[in-house]
Amino acid sequence: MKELDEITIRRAAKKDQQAFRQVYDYYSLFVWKVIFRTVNGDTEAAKEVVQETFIRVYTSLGSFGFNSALSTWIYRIAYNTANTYLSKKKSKRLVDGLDVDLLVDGKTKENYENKEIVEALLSAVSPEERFLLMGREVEGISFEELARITGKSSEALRTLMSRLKARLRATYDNLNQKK
Amino acid sequence: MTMENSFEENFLQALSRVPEMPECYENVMRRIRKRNATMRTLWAAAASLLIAATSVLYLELSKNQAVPMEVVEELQSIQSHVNGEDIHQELVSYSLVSEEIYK
Repeated sequence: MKELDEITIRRAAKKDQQAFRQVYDYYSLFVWKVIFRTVNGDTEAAKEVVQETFIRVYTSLGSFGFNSALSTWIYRIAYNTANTYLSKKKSKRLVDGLDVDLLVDGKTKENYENKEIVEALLSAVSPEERFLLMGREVEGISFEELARITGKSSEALRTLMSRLKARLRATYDNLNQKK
Repeated sequence: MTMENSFEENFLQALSRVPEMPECYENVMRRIRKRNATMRTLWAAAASLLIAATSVLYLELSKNQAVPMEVVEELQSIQSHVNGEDIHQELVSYSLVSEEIYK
């Protein structure tokens, strides 16, 4: 991702509101997309996390040391904010509690169109997995950058992603066979 | 691991399908202003408390503090000097004649 110029970032760090507006305009859409999926399509939750993320960006930008890309720094804040939000709201537990097998059995799966199955599959993975899927598969963030964002090693993330894809694929195949 | 094309296409489409981002900037700035105001109020309250506590402590200490004897003596000596009460003693000390002459 192409980054915003350093002069604007430094101005925003000094609480220049015009510059901060530019930072917001430049990075908020990506944060919105990833967070919307991370909170499993809950618009109000996504709005809350995006707002809180940019409040933290505004207050902490002065401590940004240019050791990484600003996007990585902002996504890390967004990732942590989403985790905090979900653990406070307990929705993480609810989302994690969805059982894919329930979708496969009985009449439920017949009501699902192909794309709906995919969305149902998405809701059955954890917020962190959705964050990684969104970041890696849709936005094309490298594993190295994702490692800096999540605080995990890139090798661990590769393994996690590989297993996640296999799990989703197996469930998808299962659903299609029973259709 | 490579997923089957149909699945991968559907999956990525579903993943990237998000509603338009609502306007959040004004809310962000409003909440920042509110937090700043709250922080300023808290700092002001903390500073007031600190000043009040320091003043009370200072007054208490001032009340209880006894002036050392040497200082009292020195102050009394200065007071006598200023009031001219020690003139007689001065004359006696520095005169060449005996003290008896004044009697």
